[in-house]
Amino acid sequence: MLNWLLRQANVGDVFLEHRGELTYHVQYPLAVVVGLPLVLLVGAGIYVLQRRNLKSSPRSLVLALTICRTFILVLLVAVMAGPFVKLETARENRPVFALVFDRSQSMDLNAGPFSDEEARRITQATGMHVAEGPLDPEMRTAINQQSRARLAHAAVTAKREQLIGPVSTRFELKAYTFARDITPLGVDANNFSLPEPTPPGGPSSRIGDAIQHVLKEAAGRPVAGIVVFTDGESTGGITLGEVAQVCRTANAPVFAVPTGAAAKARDVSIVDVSTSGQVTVGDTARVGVVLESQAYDGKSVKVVVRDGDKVLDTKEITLRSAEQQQVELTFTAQESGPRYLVIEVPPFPDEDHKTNNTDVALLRVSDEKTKVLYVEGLPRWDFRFLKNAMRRDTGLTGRDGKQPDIVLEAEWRRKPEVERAKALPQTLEELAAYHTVILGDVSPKLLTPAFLELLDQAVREKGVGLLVEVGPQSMPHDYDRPLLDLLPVQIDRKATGIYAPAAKPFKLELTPDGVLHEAMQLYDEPGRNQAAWAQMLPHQWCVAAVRPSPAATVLASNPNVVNNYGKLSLIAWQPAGKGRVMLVGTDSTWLWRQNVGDRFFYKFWGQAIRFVARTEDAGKKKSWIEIKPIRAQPGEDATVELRAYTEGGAPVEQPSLPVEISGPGTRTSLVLDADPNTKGRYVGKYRVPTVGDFRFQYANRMAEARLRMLAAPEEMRYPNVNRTALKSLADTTGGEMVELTDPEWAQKIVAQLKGEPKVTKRPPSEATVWDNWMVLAVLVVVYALDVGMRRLGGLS
Amino acid sequence: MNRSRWIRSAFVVALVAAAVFAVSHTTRPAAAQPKPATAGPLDSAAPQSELKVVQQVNASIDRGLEYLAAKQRKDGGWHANNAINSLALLAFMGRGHTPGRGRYPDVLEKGKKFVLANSQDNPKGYLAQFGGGSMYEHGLTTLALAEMYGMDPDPELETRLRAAVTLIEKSQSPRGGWRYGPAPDNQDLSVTVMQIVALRAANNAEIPVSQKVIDNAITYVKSCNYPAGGFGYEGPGQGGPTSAAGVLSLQLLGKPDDPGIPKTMDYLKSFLRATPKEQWENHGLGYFYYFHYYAMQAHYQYGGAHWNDWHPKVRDALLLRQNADGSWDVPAGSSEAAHADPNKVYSTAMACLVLDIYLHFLPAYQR
Repeated sequence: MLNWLLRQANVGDVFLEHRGELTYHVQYPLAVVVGLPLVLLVGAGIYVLQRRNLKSSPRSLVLALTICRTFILVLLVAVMAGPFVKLETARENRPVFALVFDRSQSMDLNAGPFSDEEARRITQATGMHVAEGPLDPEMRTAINQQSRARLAHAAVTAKREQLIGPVSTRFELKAYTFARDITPLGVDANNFSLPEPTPPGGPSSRIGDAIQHVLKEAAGRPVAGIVVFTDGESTGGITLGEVAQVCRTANAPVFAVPTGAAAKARDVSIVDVSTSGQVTVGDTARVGVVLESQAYDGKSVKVVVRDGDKVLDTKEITLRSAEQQQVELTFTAQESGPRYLVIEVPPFPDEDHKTNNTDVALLRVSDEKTKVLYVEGLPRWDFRFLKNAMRRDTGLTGRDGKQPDIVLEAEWRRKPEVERAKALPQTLEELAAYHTVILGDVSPKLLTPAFLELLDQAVREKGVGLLVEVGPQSMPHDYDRPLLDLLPVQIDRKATGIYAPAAKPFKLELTPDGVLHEAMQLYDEPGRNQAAWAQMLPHQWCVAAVRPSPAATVLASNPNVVNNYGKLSLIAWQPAGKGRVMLVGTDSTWLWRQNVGDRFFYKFWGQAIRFVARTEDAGKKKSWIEIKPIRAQPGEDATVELRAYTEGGAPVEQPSLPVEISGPGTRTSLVLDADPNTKGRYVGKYRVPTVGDFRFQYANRMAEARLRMLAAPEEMRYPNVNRTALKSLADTTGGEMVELTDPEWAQKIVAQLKGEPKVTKRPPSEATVWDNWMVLAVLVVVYALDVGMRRLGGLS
Repeated sequence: MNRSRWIRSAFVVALVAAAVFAVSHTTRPAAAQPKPATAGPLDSAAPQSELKVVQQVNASIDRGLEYLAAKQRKDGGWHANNAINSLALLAFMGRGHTPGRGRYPDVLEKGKKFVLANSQDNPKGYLAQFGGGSMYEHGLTTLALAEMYGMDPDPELETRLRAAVTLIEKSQSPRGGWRYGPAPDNQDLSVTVMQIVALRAANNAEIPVSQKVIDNAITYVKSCNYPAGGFGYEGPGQGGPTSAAGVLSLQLLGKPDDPGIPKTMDYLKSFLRATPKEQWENHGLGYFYYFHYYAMQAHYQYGGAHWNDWHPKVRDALLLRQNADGSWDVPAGSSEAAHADPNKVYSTAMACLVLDIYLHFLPAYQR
């Protein structure tokens, strides 16, 4: 009944849920203290008056009428006193204690090989009882061959009394499993059990993301500790170094538990493959392969590169386990189009892991060379590296069909006047012969207004690509229209750029558009690509960009410089008429060479040059299909891009086109939708269901591409347990790396957990109880009763 | 009756008015709002490097450069000999420090000014400070200025650099080599390699170098090739430093496939020792740093198994022997000890330059 009344009084559900804790109050107690006695007095006065005036009426009637009127007055006093209900609750905040289980595919690998002593201790850790003396061979095999995930599961289950029991009342227990994504496990501290880890594991290990997720879910509550059961190889997301700093700031210690043997597996692994990216038919293509090996020092292996079944090159290398080894394979490109190369190292019979002996790389072979004009001011380092790399890039040429045309202002100004006038193309036809024009930090003495007008025309009307690398001398602040109108950023012309403070140089941050853009692809895998860019050295200077132009797509930004328009645009592009213009807003991309030389530096520039390049007219084009990424894992989407041309070379214009797909147990068709912005371009997505090679064909093999579905290649690159990374993570966060071979591993963790539950009183909640229809109804009913009684009594 | 009705009506009106008043002027007690939870600040740290050895090398070079920066005098020089000053400048640039920016802008600026102010410039373009044996100085200083050129818009730097290149061209002997003085009278391979490196760096900056000079240099270097492998000081012969110099010279002159190179690379293997400790203590070289400065570059340019086998041992020897203050000593047995400066600028700068090869920053180190 009380619930019903409270509900009619419009108090919230929270009050009803805690009805027993409600207290009743008035806002103006004085109204009650003064009002009620007054009302009683008035009531008595009313009775006396009524008795005097209604001598002929029965006493009961008079009394009833007095009661009615007095009641109304009481009601009035009650309303004026402002009655309300109050709810005060307390909440217990327990620190979070999280168990996080790595369930990526590398956790399906064997936990061993353990030594005999280690194996014995592991049996204790996992709750198995073994007799004294040497371990039974079968038992040892079982221990070594159990999966890493199974080992973690068994260890926690065996030690749940020591790990969970002591903390169940102190902390709030959370448990998660993660691979690429993190999934909560619904566990009950009082009745703890874990689900069995069934294979296969997930396609990547994002240890940093998983730990960061735990902190986010804690939502500001203290974290007593995060215990991570993992093999330590993170293959995506934020790095362990970054998340370690986050945890340290949040005072959240991480206890890392390596779930595998310290002994290295017998293994030869391809850890990296790179190609020159693009070559022309007839050129020498290069494939760089990086290997790591364990336990095969002094042995020779052959590294093979194939295109389909055709072996293109083989190199022999003598293995050395001390560090990575590199080998370069070369071959002459003979067929145009995207070539999916397979790189293999035949595995040794006794290798523990054989799936990481293969990788794939994409090489684009074009029929024609890209004609490039590169104009620079002074021979800064970017110029020296870029022009040499361009000269080595046999897919590039100049107008005369040899090497790219290069004009350096520092040499240009030493020439006689007659020669200076002819240094740059003089007519639209000459300039439009180039596919791409690169402008460095050139002064207006060389880039005259007449030339810039010509360049503007060439870009907008002929589709010539423009790539601008800025510099502190002139580019682009010494210029005006039309060059500034071409650029994808608007600049502060009063500034010659922005210098970073010595202690805080500028970082480069990929935007979401940049993550996917072909010019920014240092690796085919997005996670690896982002990690590579994140590790680039910071810059000391950048362009004074104010905002991106309206049509611009920003590929990378400078997070250290922010204004009302957001972060400073560092690398951006925009369409300009028929052409494309890209701006590189720093002058020290040579920093990207650190430890790797041209590998990333020229991958970016080569891709950028080709991205902006003018596309040839129809008549020379052949259809092609491209799949991104070129290797994927089951369950991941691959983007399929088709450029369709008729036999005459004209782009095919249809609302959609089908592509036939064949693979292991699969024969299907995928419909690609037309890109409204580019004639002949069609795009779609395909989720490949299983491991194997898949072939995509258009119009009876007029165009063909391949996709290799591998079982989590990233996971298998580094199959050993990375204790170094785990120790660093634990030490940085104030936790500890504990080994499962330590019989007290669970007790060690529990002893270091910090924090106690804290009871906090919530601010009281209040709700009025008079401003509702019930009070009004009572008032009306009583008044009506008064009127009714008078009428019936013949008093009115 | 009328009076009663009036009183009753007034009472009702008053009641209603009181009720209205009560409703409009009673403040509703505010319901308690839970305090929004706030997450702590999420700092981000620099990502960890993948290769431990890269971190070690970078850290070692940084300590070496800190040492060199501390030893720079107020006038910008480290030594009266511009060769040593130039090696110090190159060591900084090899680590990616450029004029006007970053951690050592003043070091480079002051160093450049000292070198330019303390060059003889007689004959015109001569960048050495000392007398005899000064083409070593000139070659190394030209190299340092060539690397700085383009990153520093100083017009004087460009002018002096061009004059220095012209001087090198004019000093080439009829046989195609160079010797101690700025005159075309004689030649030996150890001076020649320094001029070739300087010319290559200038050419990389698009400063024209006469093809005839290049062709003559090729002829001279090849004339020093020993058929069984190796390059000699003034003619065919063997020896560690000159062999490394000969290989690098041909590589930089555009002859990486010269038939004399593979056997020389095999010959150079004889200078590899089993352990880093032995690589330092039992080096068997007359000029330890001179040799490794050129040998490291030669192996890098050559690549393949020779590079894979060579660089870890040399690298580890240097990492092992760096002093706590960041400097390096000249190992016993090397003749460089007799000429070493007490501040260890020469040995420290050379060690940094050898390790700088891993960073791929210095344009002169390009393949």
